[in-house]
Amino acid sequence: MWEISSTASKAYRLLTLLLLILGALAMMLPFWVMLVTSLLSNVEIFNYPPRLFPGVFHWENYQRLFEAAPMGLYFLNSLFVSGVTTVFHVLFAAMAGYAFSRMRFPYRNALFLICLVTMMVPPQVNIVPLFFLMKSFGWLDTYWALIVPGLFGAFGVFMLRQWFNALPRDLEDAAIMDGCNPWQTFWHIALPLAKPALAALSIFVFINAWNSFMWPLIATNSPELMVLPVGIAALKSSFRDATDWSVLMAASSLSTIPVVIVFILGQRHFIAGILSGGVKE
Amino acid sequence: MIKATIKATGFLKSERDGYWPWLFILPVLLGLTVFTYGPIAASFGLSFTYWNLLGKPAFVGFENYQAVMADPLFWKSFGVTWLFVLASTVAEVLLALLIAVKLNQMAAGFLSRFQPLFRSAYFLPFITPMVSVSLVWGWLYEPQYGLFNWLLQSLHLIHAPVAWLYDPDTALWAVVILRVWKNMGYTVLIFLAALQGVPESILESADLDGASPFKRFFQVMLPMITPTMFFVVIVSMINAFQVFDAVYLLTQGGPDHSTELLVYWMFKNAFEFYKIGPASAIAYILFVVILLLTLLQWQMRKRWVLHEEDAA
Amino acid sequence: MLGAAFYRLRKIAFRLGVLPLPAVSFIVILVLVFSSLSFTACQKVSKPQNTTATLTFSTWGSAQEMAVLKPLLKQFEDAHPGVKIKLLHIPDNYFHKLHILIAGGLAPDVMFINSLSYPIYASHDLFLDLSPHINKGDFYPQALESFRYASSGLKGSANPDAKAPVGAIPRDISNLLIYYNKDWFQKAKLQDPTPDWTWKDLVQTGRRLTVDANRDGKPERFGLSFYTKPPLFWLPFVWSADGKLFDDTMQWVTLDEPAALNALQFIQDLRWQSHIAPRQAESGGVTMSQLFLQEKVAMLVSGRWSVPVFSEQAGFDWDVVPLPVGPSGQSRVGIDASGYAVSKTSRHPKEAIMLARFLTSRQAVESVAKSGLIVPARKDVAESPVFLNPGKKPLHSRYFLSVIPEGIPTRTPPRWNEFSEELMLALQPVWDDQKTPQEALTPAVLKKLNRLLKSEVSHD
Repeated sequence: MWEISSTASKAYRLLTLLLLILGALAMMLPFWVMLVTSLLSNVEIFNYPPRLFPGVFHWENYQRLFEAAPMGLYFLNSLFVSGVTTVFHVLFAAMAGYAFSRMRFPYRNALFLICLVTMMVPPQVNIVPLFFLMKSFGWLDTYWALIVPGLFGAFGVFMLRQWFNALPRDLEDAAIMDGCNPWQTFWHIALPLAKPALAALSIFVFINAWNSFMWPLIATNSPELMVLPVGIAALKSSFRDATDWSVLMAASSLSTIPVVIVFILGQRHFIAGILSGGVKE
Repeated sequence: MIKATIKATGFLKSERDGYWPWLFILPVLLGLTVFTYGPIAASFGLSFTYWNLLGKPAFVGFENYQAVMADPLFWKSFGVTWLFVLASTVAEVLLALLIAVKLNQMAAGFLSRFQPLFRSAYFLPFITPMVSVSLVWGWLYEPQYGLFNWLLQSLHLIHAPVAWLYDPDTALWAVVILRVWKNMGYTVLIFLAALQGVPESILESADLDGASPFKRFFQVMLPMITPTMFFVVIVSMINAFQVFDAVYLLTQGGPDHSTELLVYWMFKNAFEFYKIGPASAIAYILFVVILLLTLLQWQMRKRWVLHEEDAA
Repeated sequence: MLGAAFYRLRKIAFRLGVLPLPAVSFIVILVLVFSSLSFTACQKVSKPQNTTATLTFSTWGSAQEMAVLKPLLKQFEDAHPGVKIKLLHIPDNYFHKLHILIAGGLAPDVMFINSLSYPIYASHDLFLDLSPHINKGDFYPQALESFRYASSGLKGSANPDAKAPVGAIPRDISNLLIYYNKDWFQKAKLQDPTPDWTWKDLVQTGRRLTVDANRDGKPERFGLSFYTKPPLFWLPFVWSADGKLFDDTMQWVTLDEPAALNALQFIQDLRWQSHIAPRQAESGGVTMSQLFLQEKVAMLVSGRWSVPVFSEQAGFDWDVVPLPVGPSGQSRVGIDASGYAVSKTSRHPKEAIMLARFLTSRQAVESVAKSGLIVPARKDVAESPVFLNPGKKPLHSRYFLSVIPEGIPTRTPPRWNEFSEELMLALQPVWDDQKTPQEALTPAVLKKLNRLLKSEVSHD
């Protein structure tokens, strides 16, 4: 629709393209610096001008990282916590979203509103009472504290309700005719139809769980329970005066790569999911 | 039919589905009650107490709110937070709009198959862990060996190295830049969706009128996406109010409290000064601000959704 | 317990695909609601069956210190087959983390703690009284006194008597001296300072050492450098001027009395009048130790912890000297102590006390002292070649000991965190030359400080 009418507009478009490329490169630059720095030697890192390309790949930085901190353990912890959180969070959200969309029951709208209102609560407001709630459950410094509070979110309920609302009911009605109970209808008919939305929500929940920092920082203390962000923050503070940047960048790279992979794999769904209803950070 | 109505008399029982709905919503409802409503009520209670996390809380009435309101540091933090929120939101939204418009044009041209690549490039920072990217930016901002000072010096934009995170005049801006970089991709996406929702017929009629690209944008596209703009601005503001990781890792609120964002100030009060009462009061003030913004957003959202339906 | 949690969740996740889902969601809910009960139950049941006692031990410390500490812990485990130690090493923000642990009911059995942060926990009665397990003759009395607070609140602890409980066994003492660049002194044709030097001498020496080659009022090198943020760095000047932070009964802040005001003025002048010390903006993001190492300052107020770094990295000769004698005719520095406390909630108090005693034994303190990092709180180690170390820098290590008798043992109110934050805030304009000390300590500020000072902690 933007036809090329003159050389002037051609030049304008070329310039635009150039700026877009430049912008994209600028966005990627920190990641590039992160990767490069993680492969620089302790001498190269203090080169001036800064090195933008590694000479010899100093993989031993990663080795030093694993000696300085049990990164493998942090990684597994993050994977476990984020994975379990994602599965249950999405399941619960789908159940509730389905009920709010398809079923009729007393106080339905009021209850839906009660769910939605929680989206307004900044998580930081709750952190102290949550800490003592966990204490009274005996969950502090356990996986429970890392996982359970993250299993319930109104956003997913809202998003999946919207999704189910937009789905035709024919198939479900047929299933009910065949004598399926509501659970069976939900599980065998509705859920498969919601796969794109479930995928989007899963990726979103996973990434959020993977990145979360403040709560794990407070809820856990044992090194065996540290998730990646907390472990990396601890690693950073352990350097005190002399920060070992290449090791820190190696740690950042390791924690960033999985989300990038998850994103690339599910990019289409994720972006579609975000567009379907303005995801809260 | 009559039979069904007679049957459905049980309390909380659905006519058609019996008690099934309750089973479906039970986990989320219970979870939100225990982990959100309970704590938020407790937090409200705590904001009227003196407590250092040890011993038992003691009721002090409105003292915490009075103390917080009388505390110059709170106001400093409040001001810094608003400055941060407004600056990062304005920068983010304007940049994102520019990029989205350009990317949208790209989608129509011969470069269309590269558009998703660009989209991803802009979006990637949004999904990476804040802790990790904060460290990366800490390194970029490093006064002596960091990339930024070198870049700026080679471009002759600065003459002497800037101490970015260590200078009260620049530290907040350094965090703003990091935040804009981190969050912009999301806003680009939303804008892109809105722009793609602008019906081609409208653009074509503008084309026929021979409108210049600028005119076309300001007179045709912009009005179509104003609701999105409101939405994006408010969401971005709400999120900016909650920034914590970067400050915790990079500046700890300093130097000279220049990056003392409200959430971090609350955290410090609670877990460094052990003043749970004032911390809860600050949390509640933050809550009210975000509540107002969210209500505003919901108003806007209604308009936005309506608009979408109109357009479709 | 950790394993159990992992196992349960994994099992639930595994069965997700097999079980009918309503059942799963019910199970999950049940687990959520009741696992608190099951957890406490399982702890109570399983613990007595254990023959090994696991002690949680928390400490801060650099990698270098940990390298000394870890073999010691190993040695303790080997000597006590029934005891396992779970090390919680928290290098940064230690006291914040510790506070959260204690608040969460997860207090480590043995905690490394310093005397500044001690009162808040002592006043909540969280530590065991270790005085029966301390051989008092082994330690400097000032170090013990730092940990001698009545365990039930502050009342009656104004003049801690020898019989009051001691909540921690001291390992080391932190006090301040001046580190100076010997080479630089020689180049400036200055004699090395001696312990009897005065404030006046300090200023004169500082002037000779400050270099402003282009005379632009922005010296390239400074004679002296000191921190002003934490009170412990400027309090020695107040004490040496016969001033006090607060009165002996810990009721009133007395920083507004003439002697103390003079001292604060003296510090301000070091930066703004004689300008022998860098202002905040002039030191930028670089730490004082780095400035000293880069030979940008000739003298630095610091503690023993600087010795290993300087020994390793300084490209010049250096030594230490006590802070100069003030108007009081004495040089008084604070005597803070760090040591090991045992939690009252420990399930293995006997073993925990053994560990605390082991870590403050002659042998253990000697191995830590060998690194040069600490001033031992034990006299036998401090006054031995291990600490005084004739062959190594600093030449005058004994000054760390000679200032102890005149030193002021730490006394801080339980709400020290808030108190010192408030104090820092009030005095910042003084260090920045925006206010005189008198102007900064307004009645409103003093009132606020007095309240934090007196405030009873135990609201319960």
